[in-house]
Order: sequence, then C-alpha cells, then structure tokens
Amino acid sequence: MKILTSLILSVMLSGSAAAADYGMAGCGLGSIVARELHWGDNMVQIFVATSNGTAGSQTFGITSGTSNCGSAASPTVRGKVLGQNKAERTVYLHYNLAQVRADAARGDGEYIAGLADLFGCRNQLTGSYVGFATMSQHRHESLFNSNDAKVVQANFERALSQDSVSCG
Amino acid sequence: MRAALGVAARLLFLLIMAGGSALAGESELALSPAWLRALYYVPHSLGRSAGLVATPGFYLATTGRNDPQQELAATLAAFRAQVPTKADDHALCRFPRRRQLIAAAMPELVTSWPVVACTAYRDWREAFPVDGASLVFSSNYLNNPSSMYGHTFLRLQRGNGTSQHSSDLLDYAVNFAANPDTANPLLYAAYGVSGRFFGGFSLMPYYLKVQEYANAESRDLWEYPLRLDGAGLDALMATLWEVGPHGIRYWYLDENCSFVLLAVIAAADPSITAVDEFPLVVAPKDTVAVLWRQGALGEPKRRFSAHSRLTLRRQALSAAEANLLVRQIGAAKLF
Repeated sequence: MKILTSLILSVMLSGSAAAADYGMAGCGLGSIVARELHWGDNMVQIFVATSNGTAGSQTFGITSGTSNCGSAASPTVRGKVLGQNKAERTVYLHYNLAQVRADAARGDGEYIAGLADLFGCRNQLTGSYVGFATMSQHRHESLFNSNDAKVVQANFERALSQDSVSCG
Repeated sequence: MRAALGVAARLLFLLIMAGGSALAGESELALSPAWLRALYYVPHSLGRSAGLVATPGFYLATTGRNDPQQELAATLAAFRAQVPTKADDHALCRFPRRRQLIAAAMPELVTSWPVVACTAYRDWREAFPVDGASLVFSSNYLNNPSSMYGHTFLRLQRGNGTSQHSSDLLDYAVNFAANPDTANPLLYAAYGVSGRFFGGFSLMPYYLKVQEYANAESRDLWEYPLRLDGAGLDALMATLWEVGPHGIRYWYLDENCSFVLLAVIAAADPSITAVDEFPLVVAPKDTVAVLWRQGALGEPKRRFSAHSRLTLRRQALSAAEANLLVRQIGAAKLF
C-alpha cells in the first residue's frame, strides 16, 4: 500500500502526460484526481508536511531568506500544516496554475490568496496578503516563465528568499 | 448481623440494578436513531431497515446489516477486545463514531475498554483540521436544462478555530460517486466478488471540485453551511473515518449518491430525520430541499462558474460598450 501510495503521488507530482496540459484545458480534473487521490494515506501525505522526501527537498527553505513568509514570525494561518507544506504548494500550483497566473497579473484574487496561504504569507491578524500579491504582479514575467508547476514553485521560493516581502 | 445482611442485600440489589440499567442502556441505544444512523441504516421494504454499507468490515456482526442489537453487541465485544499488534486495527480506532455514541449512552463501560493509541485516526484528524462543513450543490449544466439532478458533495472548512483568513479554495471536499478508485482493496474485492455497482468516497482539495464544476463545466456551486457545532463536526469526521474506506451499493444509479451524503450528515447529527424519507428523497435537489426544510442548512453562498461570471459582466455592459466589445474581439455575436 505504501508503495502504491508513493507511486500515485510521484506520478501526480511529476506531471504525467494526462496532467501536462491540465492548466490550460482544465477539463475533467475532478475525475482525474478522483482516481489519483484516495481515501487515506496519500491524502494525509500531501496535507501533512513530511520529511521523508515525498514533500520535496527541505533544504530549499524560504525561511532562510529575508522574507518573513513562512517563518516563525508568521505562524501558520488556519490548520497546522498551512504555509509549511511544500507538497501542498506543488499540487495547488499544478492544478490551478492558469488561475494563479491570471490573479497574479491582476494583483489580486482568491487563487493568489490561496497561494499566499500556502507560503505562509498572509497577515494573520488582518488577513491581508497584499505584499505577496504585489510581489507576484511585479515579478510576473520571471515567476511564470514555465507551465511546469514545480518550476513556478521554485521561482516563487527563490523570489521570496531574495525579496524583502512583507506579509500583509 | 441483621445490619450486615441488610447491607449485603442492598449491595446485591444495587448490583442487579446496575447490571439491569446497563442492559437497558444497551437496548435503548441499539434502537435509537443515533445508533441506526451511525450504522447507515435506511428504511427498506415492509418497514424494516437495512444498512447501506456493502463492503466487509463495516458491520461486525454477521447479521449486522439487519440487526442493530446484534451489531451493538458485536461492537461492544470488539471494543473490549485485546489490542492487536497493529493498534490502529482495534475497533476503538476504526469506529470512532460508535465509540462516541456508546461512551455517551453507557459511560460506565468506558473504563472496561483497553487503552489504545489510535495514531492513524489522530494523524488524519490533524491533517484535516475542520471548523465547519457545507453541503455543496452544483447546478445543472447550462446547456442541458433538462437535467434535473445536479450533484452534491461536502465541503469541509479548513481551520483550527483561531483565524478565518485562509482561502476557501484550500478547504477539502468529500465526494461520493460511482466508479471510485479501484486501488482501494476493499472496493476492489467487492467489485470482483459481486460484479455489482458500488459507490465510494473520495477526499480531495476543494479547489479540484471548483475546477471541475465552476471552471471546466460552467456549473455554479451553491454552498449551504451545515448547522453543526463542534461536537457535530467531531461526529462528522468520526463517521467519515468509519465509512470513508467502504463501498455502498447503488440502488439507483444516478440518484443514490446524493442520498448517501444525506446519510453521512444524519450519522453526524441524529436530529436530521430526512434520511427516513428514503426512497422518496433521492435526487440532489431533493436532499438539499429536505435539509433546508428541516433547518439543517444556513443561507447558501453562490460560487459563480466562469461562464456565469462572463455572462454577468456581459450583462453589465451598456449597448454601446457591448458593440465595442464585439468589434474588439471580432465576434459577430456574444453568447
């Protein structure tokens, strides 16, 4: 079961042929995912920050940068794992890239808000994510230079480690 | 001497009464709506009830699908049983909803249960912190007005109760549908043996349902908050943990899936009697209507599909603006 779970997860995250053009077409995603995500182990694996490699390299921590996103100064918002879990960021970007990209160009929207949450980059008191959204708009071209969610994710992580992005 | 005898007699009397009341509590619970709903019993022909769950392992008694008293007795025995090597396999860990009900109805039994760390259940609950739930109804396809069914699923609001700021998209969805994943060993076995139609549950990020319905299929989503308090949410998660890995036989191919969600909600909140109206209430819109009538739902929030948003924005344009838009995009006609 564990092997099967890892297999499903890796197929999903590595961008299978079926998922490659999901972002643009957006067709039948639910049905694809319903087959891929099942009840139990693998969902927990995605939603709980793990350190066994499935959640991606932990060495590229954004907390090392000047950004206060995802650092101890900015505790997670709702739920223990929000803002800490790299795997969840990957899956989110994987399935919502077109909407995230459009929101980023506009400088606002619920998809960029969701990404701000996953980067732990929302002001917990005010709920504001304007710093993150503004950064996403200003750096739009370099952040979204690929249709690969993992590349975009790495771009965001790099940008957050370089920029002094204030959350909120 | 006489006093000692008197004390002994009174002790004996109390002992008998205590035993009697435990038994009374047991038979009372076995026939209570809460217990029947936790077992997914629904009315059946000739006024009898039967359980919906069709895969092995959910009912512990061999007659558990039809006999709630036997099922309670079997559950009580399983709760008292020794903890196996894999502690998560103990009935106390596998059936948290039944555990809640039994502990509430017969609190004196709790001390007779073994101490068992239900790590898998605890991890699952921590992975899915939930502070609210909604019944989500998807409207019909716009281009298929004759479709009267729509679809329902549950949205679990992500949270830890301290802040309301995270995006709705990051919530979770619980779906029940035919042709579930066959990687699930229980369902796989059930398919193989019976060759019948089974439905199964899936748990996924809410944004996937939004993509599927609102973005790809042009279906608006109506999110009706369920009136569940903290204990109700706890019960909802507990019953989802119990029934989630199991398959449910479809009696009617299309309609039944919405009714199953009704049964899940009723398993969490026994005051919801809508489930007793089966099979009169089966279509998704009927399940929403009956829950609404019973006061189980709050005011809905509508999530517009991409198509609806476009239409609304188009309607907001003046005639001159619309003409300009038509010229700009070179289209002769705008939807």
